[in-house]
Amino acid sequence: MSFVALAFAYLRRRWGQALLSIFVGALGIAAVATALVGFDALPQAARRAWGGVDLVVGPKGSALDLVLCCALHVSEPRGLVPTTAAMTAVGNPMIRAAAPIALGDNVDGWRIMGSTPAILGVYRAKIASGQMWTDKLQAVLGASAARALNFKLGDSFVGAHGLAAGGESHEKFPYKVVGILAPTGSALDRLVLTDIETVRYVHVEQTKAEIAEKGSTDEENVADLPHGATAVVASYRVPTAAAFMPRQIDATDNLSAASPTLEIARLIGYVRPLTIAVTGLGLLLVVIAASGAAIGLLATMNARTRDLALLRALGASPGKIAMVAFAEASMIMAAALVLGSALTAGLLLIGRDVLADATGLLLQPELGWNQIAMLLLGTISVTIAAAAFPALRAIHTQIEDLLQS
Amino acid sequence: MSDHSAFAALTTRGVVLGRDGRTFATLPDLKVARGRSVAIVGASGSGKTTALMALAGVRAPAGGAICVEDTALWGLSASERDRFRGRRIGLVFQSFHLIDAVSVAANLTLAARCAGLPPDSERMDHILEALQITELRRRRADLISHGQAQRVAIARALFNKPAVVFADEPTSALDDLSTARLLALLKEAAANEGAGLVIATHDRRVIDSVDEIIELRSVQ
Repeated sequence: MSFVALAFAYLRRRWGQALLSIFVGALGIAAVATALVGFDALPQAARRAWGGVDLVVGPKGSALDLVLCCALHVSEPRGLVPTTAAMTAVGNPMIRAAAPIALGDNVDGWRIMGSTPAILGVYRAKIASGQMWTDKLQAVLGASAARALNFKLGDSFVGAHGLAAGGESHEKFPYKVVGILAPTGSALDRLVLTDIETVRYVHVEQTKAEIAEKGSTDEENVADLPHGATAVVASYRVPTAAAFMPRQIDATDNLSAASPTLEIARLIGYVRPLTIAVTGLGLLLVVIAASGAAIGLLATMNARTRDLALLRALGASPGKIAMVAFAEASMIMAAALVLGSALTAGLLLIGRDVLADATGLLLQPELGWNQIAMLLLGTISVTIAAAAFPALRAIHTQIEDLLQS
Repeated sequence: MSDHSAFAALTTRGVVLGRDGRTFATLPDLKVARGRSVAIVGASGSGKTTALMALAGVRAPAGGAICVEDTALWGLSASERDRFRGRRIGLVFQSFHLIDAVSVAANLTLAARCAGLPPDSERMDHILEALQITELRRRRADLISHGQAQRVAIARALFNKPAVVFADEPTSALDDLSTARLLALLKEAAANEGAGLVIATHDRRVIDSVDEIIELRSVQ
């Protein structure tokens, strides 16, 4: 029997203890790996959330509101802008793509956004199946919305008034699903797109129908229904546009420009103490998990001290004693590394779906070489630390103590 | 390579025992021939185990010379002495100290590995047969009886064909019958393998059954 086979026999003999050590080690590795990946992937996912939208042009008011409503799609619109004026404002060679957007309805809480086909250019989005709309009441669904609503091409649905579920249904104006977008990782994935004219059409026709049915409506004069858009979103062709375009638009009487990058950076600045606290807590968890892994391994290895001292009495050199201790610790940590990697992959997959459904953020976790090296270095360090202690103890055990016990 | 059989298994001259810089006993000069048994006796705490440790090359004596066959044990470097102990010295522990996680056979082959020797299957067959434990070969060490464990411990001590076997208080927890059986087994196995046997003990039953008795002399 070789010393490596002896190490394996130890694992088999006390498999419960070994499994516990492997499990604790795997949790520690998963915690560290998830943190390493998450710390990078989350901000990247947030940056992807507003996709290619570099500029939002809306009515005068809070720039942050504009970004939250029209780039991240997490708040309510504050008013309308004249579509022509807003599109004219972004009619500049420095703008790569621009599209008006109109919000106001939803389907089961998923926002219906009226726009033009140019919106795909703004987000650099692609149709995954079906096609773009060619007529009124046709819808193209973002990837997350299609998955959550379980809509397929050819399915029909009706929208409801408002941006949250529970509004008045536009029963007489069913939409037909004609296309589904490929995932972009941006807020577009959570939207149900339709022609911008459809949004106005549904509201005008709904109002007309209500007048015919009841003789009155909240929106008495159909002709007064606004012709504007909630905002115009645009992406820059050149980065220098960021220096000129917002200032130029803000100088107009009725338009305001907002940059998602600037506004979100400002927002993150406000919540920085909170993010530092969360990061600190995450690091603490990582330290606890890594310590747990080391302690579990140490407990397993400590149980070997007597046997290792015996091998010493039988003539084994300190190198051979160290080989047995390190072989067993390495087997445990190698198994923990495999299990920890699987746990990390599982956690990130679940986290990606949950995050995508809840916020539209698309995690694209990637473990870089630096992170892999850090993870391996950490695992090897824990292995050495845990194996060295019992090995040193065994090497320095007084063999007469063993003889007399 | 020298012919080991031409030398006494163990020879000592002027061995002085001490601990922490204090000398507390001397060991009368000793010459143990192959196949012979010697008991080192003395009251509890008199230094019997310390003497055994010095003779086995584990702890240096305060003075004197110890030779196993033709090799001056304390003239070797630490790593040479470790290897020499594995190859030429057998140890039988008071509570056997088998490695529970592996089989009886693996306990023996590990003794060879520790000494840097390749496991010898013929030797394994021979020693297991001699100690009548062939059927235990594949059984895990924690699944055998106390009596079987005694035999395995003796087989392990003899597996590398040592010149001398040291046993420390091997009968301290045994009744008369078990003591008689163990001593007969140890003496017979050591004699058959051509090894000298040195037992540290204060047990009268052992003292009555060995070829020679050496008493530690305390230093006032």
